[in-house]
Amino acid sequence: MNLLYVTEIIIFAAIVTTLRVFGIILLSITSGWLLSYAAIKSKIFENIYIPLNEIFESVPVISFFPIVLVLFVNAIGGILGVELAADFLVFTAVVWNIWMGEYQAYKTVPNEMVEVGENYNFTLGEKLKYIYIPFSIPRIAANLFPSFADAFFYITVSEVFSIGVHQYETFGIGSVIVYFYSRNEITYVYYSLLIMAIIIAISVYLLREFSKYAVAKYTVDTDAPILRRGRINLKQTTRVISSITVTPLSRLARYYRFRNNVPEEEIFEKEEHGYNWVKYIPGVIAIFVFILILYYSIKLVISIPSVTWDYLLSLTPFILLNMLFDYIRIAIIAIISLVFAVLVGYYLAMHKRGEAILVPIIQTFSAFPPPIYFPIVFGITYPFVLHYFGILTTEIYVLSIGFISTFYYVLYSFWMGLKAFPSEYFDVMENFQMNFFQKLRYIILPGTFPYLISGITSTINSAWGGLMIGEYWPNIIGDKNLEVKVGLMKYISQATLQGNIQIAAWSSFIFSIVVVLYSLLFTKHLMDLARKKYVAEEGIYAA
Amino acid sequence: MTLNNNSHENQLNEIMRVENLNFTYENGYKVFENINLSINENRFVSVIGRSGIGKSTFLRLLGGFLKPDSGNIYLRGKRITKPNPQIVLIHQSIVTFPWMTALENVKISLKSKNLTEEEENYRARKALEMVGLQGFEDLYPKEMSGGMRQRVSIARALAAEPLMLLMDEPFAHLDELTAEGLRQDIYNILFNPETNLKAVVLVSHNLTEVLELSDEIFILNNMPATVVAKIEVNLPRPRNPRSDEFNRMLDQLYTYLGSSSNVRG
Amino acid sequence: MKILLMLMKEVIDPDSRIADLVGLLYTLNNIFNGKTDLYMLEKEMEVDVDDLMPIVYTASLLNFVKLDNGDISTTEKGVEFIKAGIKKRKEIIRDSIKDIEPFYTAIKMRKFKLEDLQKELIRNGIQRFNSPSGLHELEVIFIEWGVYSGLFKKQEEEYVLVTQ
Repeated sequence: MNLLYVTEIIIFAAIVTTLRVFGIILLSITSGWLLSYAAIKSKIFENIYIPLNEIFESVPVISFFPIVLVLFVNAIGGILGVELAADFLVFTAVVWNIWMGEYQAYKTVPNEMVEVGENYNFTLGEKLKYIYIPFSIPRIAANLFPSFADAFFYITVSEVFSIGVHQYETFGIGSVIVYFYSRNEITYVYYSLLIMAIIIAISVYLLREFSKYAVAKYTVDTDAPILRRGRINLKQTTRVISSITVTPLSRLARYYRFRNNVPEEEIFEKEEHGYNWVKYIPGVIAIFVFILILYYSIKLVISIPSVTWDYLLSLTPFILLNMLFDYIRIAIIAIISLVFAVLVGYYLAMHKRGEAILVPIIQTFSAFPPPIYFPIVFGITYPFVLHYFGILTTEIYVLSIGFISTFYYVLYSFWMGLKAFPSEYFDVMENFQMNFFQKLRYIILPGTFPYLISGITSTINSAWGGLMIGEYWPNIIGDKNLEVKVGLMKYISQATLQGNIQIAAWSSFIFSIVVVLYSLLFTKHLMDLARKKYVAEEGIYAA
Repeated sequence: MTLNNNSHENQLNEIMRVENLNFTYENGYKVFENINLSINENRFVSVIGRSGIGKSTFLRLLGGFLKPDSGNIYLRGKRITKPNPQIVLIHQSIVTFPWMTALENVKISLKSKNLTEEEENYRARKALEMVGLQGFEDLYPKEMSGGMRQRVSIARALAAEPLMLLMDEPFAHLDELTAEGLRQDIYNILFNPETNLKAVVLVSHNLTEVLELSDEIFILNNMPATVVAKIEVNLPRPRNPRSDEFNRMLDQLYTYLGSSSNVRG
Repeated sequence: MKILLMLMKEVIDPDSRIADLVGLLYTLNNIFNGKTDLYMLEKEMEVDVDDLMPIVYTASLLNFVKLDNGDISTTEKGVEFIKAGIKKRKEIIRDSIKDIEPFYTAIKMRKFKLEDLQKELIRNGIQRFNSPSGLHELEVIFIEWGVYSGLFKKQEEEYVLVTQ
């Protein structure tokens, strides 16, 4: 192959992949604008839409990947089917977070603005264009980066996949790199990684600029910011902070607050003359979709012979055992990420200069999809790791993939939490000469608790994606395999590869039930606690 | 109870000295030039100046929260290089920690002292009692009004047994009635014989408040700012803001501040 | 009898604060020598009616000030309060609020959750707290006046009468 030709292909592939990412994010954003409006206008739709969003947000979609692939490949087939399957996976990985963000933004549009729109008889289009969409932009901007990183991660995984004996692929940097790996053209892999790094760095830069612009232009000073005199140079950043903080915190505070206020809202809801039927449409559609899902689920359950059911049920204890192992891995990843986040986040918040340099680097690194570079890292480090860790080698690698693909969320959240910390808190800590551990224990950890919970939740969800690729990776480099002994993600991957879709589907189903239960019982509880008690911003009283 | 009764005998004991203080903001704007002053024990001292002159910055320099370009600040002869519990800053925005009860909020100031849990509790309770908040130990800040929260933050400061208190517009976020009530109490609380406190420095833009509370007023003026005057206030307490003497002094303060426009032009 | 009933139904205003009482009495005493017109007070304090009247009503209800045709003057008790230290002040407030709702009913109940007190008050014909914000108002009143004065203490979610 001649180098120029290869370069062209790599650049083209990288651009195709990047366009996919941006296209999917754009689609998520625009669809969210409409759906969110439907949600705030129709109670029925809202009551279905929001819980579904919450559930899908907490289920690592990657576990459904096999089923989705089969559906798309079977139903549509051809290049289009594969393309759509890959896009759909990425879509389901990023969309919930964006939709929720927009919904929350819509819910917090100041009533005065809404009334202005009503006063001048805005049409639906005008209301969206002049009020709701602009208002949602800072929130979207703040959510954009994690979605972007997620999208890159999943797109590179999903450009090539195998079911049974068939390998499906769609053109893009992910499939090109897999091709190079399979031909052992490691130089070209490096080359691709470099080009990808440049493209991601540019994208990160553009996103940061967009974020700044969005915040500067669209942030509404609804609640008067607390005056922080005496802290010099803070002015520039306060606006950024005040709008970015909206993200994790609002996830807890605003969202719940507004949901809990629902009855009051109903009282004040005004009649929309002549439009009455419009607000039933989303509700009707929602019910229709719900019935459709129910119908197909029942049909599916009935279509499976009872022998198969018996078999699947008998597998369940084994599946649960596998899941337990994965939960232990997830717990280790979460703890390491947390410790890392607290140490690095604290350093970043305390050192302006370090922050200015390190944050873009960390962002670029975290958006750089591990699936495309991890094989090389594996190839280089394997002898050393094997030497020092022996039988733990596989686990070290799996945990590492989990860590590098997820540490960012909790770090970012924690850092944001610290940035939103009232500057007076730092004064108090200094004034009473608390040591580092006292600061952490009494002030910093409780004060960033809502952010930490929200960050840890995202980290845990994404860690499943890391495990999915890491637990079973045949021919990761050369003829080496990365494979754990026990793990649900491996179990699902293997079942898919062997074309055993029923087992893969059943495992995913059991898995998602556990994850949803976990999220309902554990995460929700913590979030409630965080919102009730640990809101640092409430610690400053300024009339 | 009031300060003037015993201040004369101690007047010569200097608690704080500021020598040739210079300070420049990060953006290169020079705020203070050659500030010299001395504060004696048992004095309630205020610092006034037109808005933007850097009053809060001045307090932060005194407390060691900011480092001067040059010059020194001594507390009882010891140079201040970083914040410490001997000199506590009370913020304009009332600072409490919402996840802690009133008692825990106060105990925060004792953490660096390595006391036993019992000793911490004892001191914190005593401090809460001093500000009139016994019974509030287990309540959370959000259950309290703004005035009470500011009392908690004062109790937190007093529990650390500081020599000096720096108050940055401590009443600014309270409505006038509440502020007036707290203002009247504060003087008695701070110079309660049970406290270790030797002096208070208040920064405020409310000149009536300053005159009501202070024994001594430093006036900052010019750009960069210097101390242009020091005024002794010997009015008897409690002071009546409607009395002729009071108004004469108020007029005098305004005269000093008003001259700033000439200097600036 | 009718007058007594009407008095019974007067309650401490949830917007009034202890610090406001101190501020009001200080201003009246030190600036106006104990008596002035309400409008003069408003001007002097630079507050508006909404801020001023809750404490004026409450102070008058508790007999710290006397209202008469737009005039306001301190009572003997008001003067005593101002001159007292914190301990004595708490005692004076304790004695003053005993016969005023919501404390009158609360003392009879001795130990209660605010929800129960709210119901009991409504049963006794006091409608002031029969609203969605009623519970919150009761909480504010109890913390501000009840807990502060030492008449009640808060244990978890319950308020308990402190027996002296």
